This record gives sequence, C-alpha cells and structure tokens, in this order.
Amino acid sequence: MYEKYREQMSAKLQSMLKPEHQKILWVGDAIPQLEAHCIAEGREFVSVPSDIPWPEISRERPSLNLDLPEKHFDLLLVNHALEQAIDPERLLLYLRKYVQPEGMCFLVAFNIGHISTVVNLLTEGWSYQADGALRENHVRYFSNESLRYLMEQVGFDFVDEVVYQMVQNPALTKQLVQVMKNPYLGILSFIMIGRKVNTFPFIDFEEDTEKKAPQRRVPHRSEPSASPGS
Amino acid sequence: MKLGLLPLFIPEQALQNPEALVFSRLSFFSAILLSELKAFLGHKLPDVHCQTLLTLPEVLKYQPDVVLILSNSCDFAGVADWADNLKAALMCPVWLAGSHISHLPQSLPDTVDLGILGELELPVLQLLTLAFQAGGAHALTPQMYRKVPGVIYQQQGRMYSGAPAQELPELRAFPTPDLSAFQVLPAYFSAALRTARVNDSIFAQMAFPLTRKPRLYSVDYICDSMVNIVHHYQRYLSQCRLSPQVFRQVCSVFITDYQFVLQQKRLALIVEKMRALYLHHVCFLTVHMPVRAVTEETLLLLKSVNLQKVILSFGPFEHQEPLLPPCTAADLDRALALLKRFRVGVIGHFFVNPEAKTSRQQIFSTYVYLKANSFLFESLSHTVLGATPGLSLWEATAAQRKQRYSHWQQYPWASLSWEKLSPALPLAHKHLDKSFFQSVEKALNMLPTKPFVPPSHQEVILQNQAELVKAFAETYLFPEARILELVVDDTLALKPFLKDYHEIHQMHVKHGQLHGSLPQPVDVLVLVASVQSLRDPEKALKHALMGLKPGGVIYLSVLNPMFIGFIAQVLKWPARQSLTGYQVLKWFTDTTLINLLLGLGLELIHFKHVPASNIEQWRPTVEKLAKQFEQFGMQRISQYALYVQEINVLARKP
Repeated sequence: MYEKYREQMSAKLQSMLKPEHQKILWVGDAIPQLEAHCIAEGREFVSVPSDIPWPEISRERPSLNLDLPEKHFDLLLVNHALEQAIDPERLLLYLRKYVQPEGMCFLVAFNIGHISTVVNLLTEGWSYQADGALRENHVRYFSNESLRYLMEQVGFDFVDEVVYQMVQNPALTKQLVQVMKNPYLGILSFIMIGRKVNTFPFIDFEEDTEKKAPQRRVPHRSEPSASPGS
Repeated sequence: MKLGLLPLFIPEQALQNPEALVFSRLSFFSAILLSELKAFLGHKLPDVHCQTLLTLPEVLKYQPDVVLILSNSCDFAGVADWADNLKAALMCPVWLAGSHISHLPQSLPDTVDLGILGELELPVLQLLTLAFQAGGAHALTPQMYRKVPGVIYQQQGRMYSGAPAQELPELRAFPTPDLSAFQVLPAYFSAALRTARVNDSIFAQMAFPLTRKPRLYSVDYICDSMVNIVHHYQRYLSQCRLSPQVFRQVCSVFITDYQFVLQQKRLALIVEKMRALYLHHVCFLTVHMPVRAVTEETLLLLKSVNLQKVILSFGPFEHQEPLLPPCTAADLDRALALLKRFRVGVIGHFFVNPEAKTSRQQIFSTYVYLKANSFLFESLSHTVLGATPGLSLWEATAAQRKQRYSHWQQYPWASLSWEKLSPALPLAHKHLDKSFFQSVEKALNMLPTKPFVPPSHQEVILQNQAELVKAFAETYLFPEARILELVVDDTLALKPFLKDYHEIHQMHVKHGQLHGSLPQPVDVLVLVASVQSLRDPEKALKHALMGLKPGGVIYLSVLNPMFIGFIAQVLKWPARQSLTGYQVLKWFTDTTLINLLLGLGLELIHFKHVPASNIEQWRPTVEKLAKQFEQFGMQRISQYALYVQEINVLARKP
C-alpha cells in the first residue's frame, strides 16, 4: 500500500513543480524518481546530507551547520521529515534561511486522523507500523490544522494544499466522518504549499546597517541518497 | 453639593472582549483613583456627596453640581466633547484631572472650566471649599480659584496657572478607598490597590497623576484596604453563597505598584499583619513585580499570604528606559523558573518600544525569547507605545509633532490605546515604521500561551497531586527508600512532596533525551509520564536502570492510547500537539510497555489500569463505535480498554 503511495506522491510532487523551481532543497524521506527527474531537467536538487542529525535539531542543538548558501533555493521540499523531528518548528525555521525571499515550500506529512490510524488505535492501541503516520521512527503527528499552523508559524504564507486520498472501509469511514465530525478520515497525507514571508519576525538583518551580511558559500550538490528517515 | 466623578471607563470596551484582563486597561485605574478621592472627600467634607458615574444617562440622572473628569492620554480624545455635552445638558462646571493634563497642561480643552495638575486631593478640597463659600460650584469664577495651587484655566484664549500643586505630606492617615463604585463596573474581578505614590513605571506614569514627592502608604492603610476589599466582595457576592474555600479563590487583591515588593521591611510587616488578620484565608494576591525582584525570599513571603498571580512587565532586552525596570533574558529565565517552582501564574506584558532608539534586533531577540518560553506564561500581552505625554517617546517627537499637528485636538489620542495597534499611532522611531510594528503585533498575537488558570483550579491540581503522591508513597515506598525519578514535567514530580522523607534524585527528559548524571544506586526508579517522552525509551531505560539496585523496583505510569478521550483528540489533533511543547513522543499499551520491561530483563510485579473518572460521558460514543465496527465486519473493539485512561506498571530488577 505504501509503495504505491510513495510512487504516486513522487509523481504528484513532480507535477506540482513549476519552471521557477530551479533550485530545490529537500529534507526527509528519499524521493529517487523525483530527484532523477529534476537532475535530468537540469534543476539543482540538493538534499540535507543523511549524516546530518536534522531530526534532533532543538533548542539545545539549534544548528545543523549545513554547508549551503543562504537565500539560494526556490523550493524547500519537506518530505515526511516533520514527523521524525523532535522540534519540527525549529527544523523549518532553520531551513527557511536557505530559501530565497520569494521562495516556496512543500510540506508533506501524514494525516494522524486517517481511518487506518483510528482503526489501529481502537483495535490495537497505537501499534507502530513499517510506514504511514504510525511509522516506528515518528515522534510528531499532524492534522490538517496543525500542519497549516506550523507552516504559518515558521514564516510561510498558506498558498494551497493538496491531499492524498486513500479510502479504506468507505462505509465505515462515511459513518465515522459523521460521528467524529472529521472530514479528513479518508485523507492519508497532506501537501501544504506555502510562500516565504519576509516580515517580522522572519526578517533578515543583513539588509540593515545593524548587522553584517553573511558570507555566501558555494552550493553543495548531493548525489541521490537515502535519508536517515527512510 | 453633588460631585459627579467621571472616570471615562467605557463599559463597551470591556464587554467587547470579556476575556481581556481589565487591569490592563488604563482607564480602569481612573476609577481606582476616584475611589481614593471619594474616601478622602467623605472624610474631609461630609456635606459633599460624590458618585462615580460611567455613562451620560447616569450623569444626567444624578444631576451633579459639578463634574470631575479623570483622563489619561489614551482617552483624552473624547474629553472636550464630554465636557461640552455635560455643560449643555446640566449647565454645571466641568473640571479635568488625571495623568494626561498633568503631563500636558497646555492641552486643556476650552470646554473645560479648569484643570487640576498632579495629585487630586488638596486642589479638589480647596475648590469645593471655595464653592461652598460662593454658594455653589457654578458661582466659582477664575478670580476665586486662580490662587489654588495646581489649578489651571483658560480665559480669553490664554492659559493661566497658579502655584505648583500641593501634595498630602504623608499618607499615614489616608482613609481606605471607597469601593462602592466598583459594584457597577463591568468585568470587574480584581480590586486594585496601590501601596505607594511614585511614578516608577510606565504604568504608574500613564495611569496616575504626576507625583512629585514619592510616598509610601502605611502598613495599616494597606491591610485595612485589603479588609475593605474583602468586605466589598462579601457584600457583592453574598447572593452567590460561595463556600469559604471558593470565596478565597474569587476574592482577588491586585497590587499595582512595584514598591510593594521593593520595600522589603515594609513587606515583611504587611505579610505579618495580613496573616494576623487571616487575610490569606479569605483572598488571594496578584502582584505587579519587576522581573529582578522575583526572588526566592520574596516568593516565600508572598506565598504565605496566598500569592497566586504575578504580573511581569518588561521591554526589549538591554533597553535603557528608566520607567521600565531593566531585564535580560537571564533575568526572565530565572524569574520564570522560580515562579513555576512556586506554582505562581505569570501574566506577562511586553512593552515593545519603550525608547525612540529601540532597534529591530532588540525587539527580535526578545520576541525569539518569548516564542521559546511563551508556555511559561498564562497570558502574554503587549503594547506598542506611541508618542505619549509623560514618556521619553513624547520628547523624541517634539519637532515633527509641531509640524504635523497644529492643534491638540488633531493629535490621534485615541490611537494611544494599549490594547490594539492603531494605524494612526504616532511613532517616535526614525528607522521603524508602522508596517514593521504591525508585523510585530501579528507575530506576538500568534504566540501560544496557556489558558488563564483560575486560582481555584491551581489549588485543586496541587491537592490532587499531593494526594496521588501520598497514595504512591504508601503503596510503593518504604521508610528511607532512595529514589531516582525521571522527570519530564516538574509539575508531575514527586520530589517537592517527598523530599522531607526520602532522598530523591532527578534526571530530566528534554527533547527526547535523558539529561543528568546517575546517582549512587537507588531503591526505586520512578517514571511518571516520562517514558513516553523519550525518543528511544529502551536505550534511555537501560541507562537509568544502571542506577537501580539489584532487587530495586521501577514504577512507570503512561497514558493509554486506547482511551476514547484520547482517540477523540486524535481526530482533531490540535496544533499544539504537533509542536515541541507537546511532550508525548511514543505511545505504549500495557502489552508494549510490559514487553519493553521484560526485554530489559525486569520481572513484572503487577500492572494496573486506571479508569477514566468520567466514564458515563464517553459511554454513548464507545457503544456507537463498537456497534459500527461490528456492523462493518471489523475486528471487535475491547470496550473496556477504551475507558482506561492510565496504565501503571511495577517491575523488579533481578
């Protein structure tokens, strides 16, 4: 089930790429087909290296020391990384500095309220799975509301959202939607699309006389590789 | 003679936002000031009848012989019209006092007969005495009051003033405030009390008329005023038939000034007298404190008289504004940690731009701090200050103000309100514009804070926790047992309740990792909710078990993910549960928890299911779900498991 999901999600993301998304920074689960496609089209497709402990970024460990140029990428693609991060907000806040001022983000995350999770909880009580919202290495879980809130908290204006529908037990789902008053029971994951905000508190002091401009670094181009979370 | 006191406290303002804290509204304090004046005049001139009035119909009904308006700069915009309407309707003189006119006498509207600069009592006393001699306030002429100290007036387009205002030499014999007006004030829930007259904060500077000579109220005055407040509450709430326990958590005394805690000797005497009067059994305290004044000694003292809330006002770190006590991130860190430890609710107020030279970086660094620590505040409000008389921001804009506003009536007084940033707010910053402050306000409004916790709730939580710990100790501990607890949330820790009886060591769980060093082997290892906050529970437990003696026991308590209340929450999954502050990273059922412990080589002693206290509330949902699962041929649901809220497990190290 999830193999098909990964394939279709990759194709969906590919279809969502726009010509202006020439430089893409990606973090999270590997998307080999998309990566190959981007490279073939001459786009820059850079990953947060797998040996960087990005899921552990936190107040105590606030930096990943990435060797990447700031304000460089047109698109930040976060593919099921938020579920693995102890502090998803800090991870996004850290990565957004590498996105150019007009840049965008695609945040892909599983829906914790999918019918499969509800059935899992009711029958087995949060039994961890090989993939999906209850994947073994997940520590954070998202609903449509919380993903959108997170995106706004880290300085991306909501542009649009795309949902990946996977209906299981349609009759039961329909009944539960009414009982639980949750319209997202049939949605397996969300792609939240945002545009970078450049007003307070997401401001860059290098344009002020108050602070020196940061040094620009040479872009790092990665080879296709598996992410620590995949 | 009837004196109408008009505090310009606008009821609609409070009603629009019933959750807003009334004491953040400057106009509310005009009413407090008038309650002091009313008591003073009642003492000195018993023939003068005073009444605090809020609306025009109330004034018209009362038919006063003279009206005294109190205004700060935020509500000054309406003063001229109020005076005009009152004079047209009642043909009575209108006097103006308050912080605004004290700081900016030249703005006295021509519809007002006279203004009173600085403290009110002596000038008003002299004016009323003159009015008696003249046969009524309407008969007073400038020739009669021109020599009254502190009085200003206009005549033929020119402004005249007498000698500087006189102040009461000392406040020892000052009568306690007359609180009768408060009964009609909307959203009234906290009786405010000032314990000094000194302009030592932005709040005092804006809310109260200028005081030239700082003075302290006496210990007797302060305690008598508190008794007065309690009596007022008793009268006001008599029909509610509250139990003494509940009354104590409703009856609130809000201390507005810093001197209450800064005068340590006096504070000790106040606390002593409060305890002698048993005030701590009938009311609770909310105290405005400078951040650096939050010390263990002060909190110990204040907790003994039922301190429940503290208000901390601060500006951007490293600011130089003398009216705002200095405060760094380290100061706030220390104060917030102490207040959390003492279980005192914190109401924060951030003055975004106290100085004309406040920089973006200063605001940004303070914002970043507040964002990371917002969960430590019960509420967090903010004010973008405009160029307001009495503040250094006013002086900084002198040149541009003269160019832009040819008359005081044109100045956007109403935009100076502390509650919401107005597009018309006159700023004093050269490099920071309105759009920047709008984005600051938007960002600050998005900061998540905890909901306001009523003191009664705080107390119930504390009692429940004490009972739970007592039950735990009776069941699982033996005398002088040495304990190691892995703590994820200090409010769930056993240590504060057991430290007198046991040697307790703590290790903390932060960001999914275990922090701290292992003590010498202990008899009992306790994890209340903390095993769920570890990214790798097996690895962390293996490490912690090295600190447990052979034969020692481990006690774990986790939330049951099959509890129907939790499952209902999963379907909503509010935003806060996806962010860092949410502590649960891993979920365990009794099976997975027991398997984890057995995998670590431990022997299971027993496990216990703690049922939800509100089973009946969930029964219809559970039965409906079970029926639907059955109807659609799904696996059977164990209804029993859905009512279990918590799982407790006890195991032994061989």
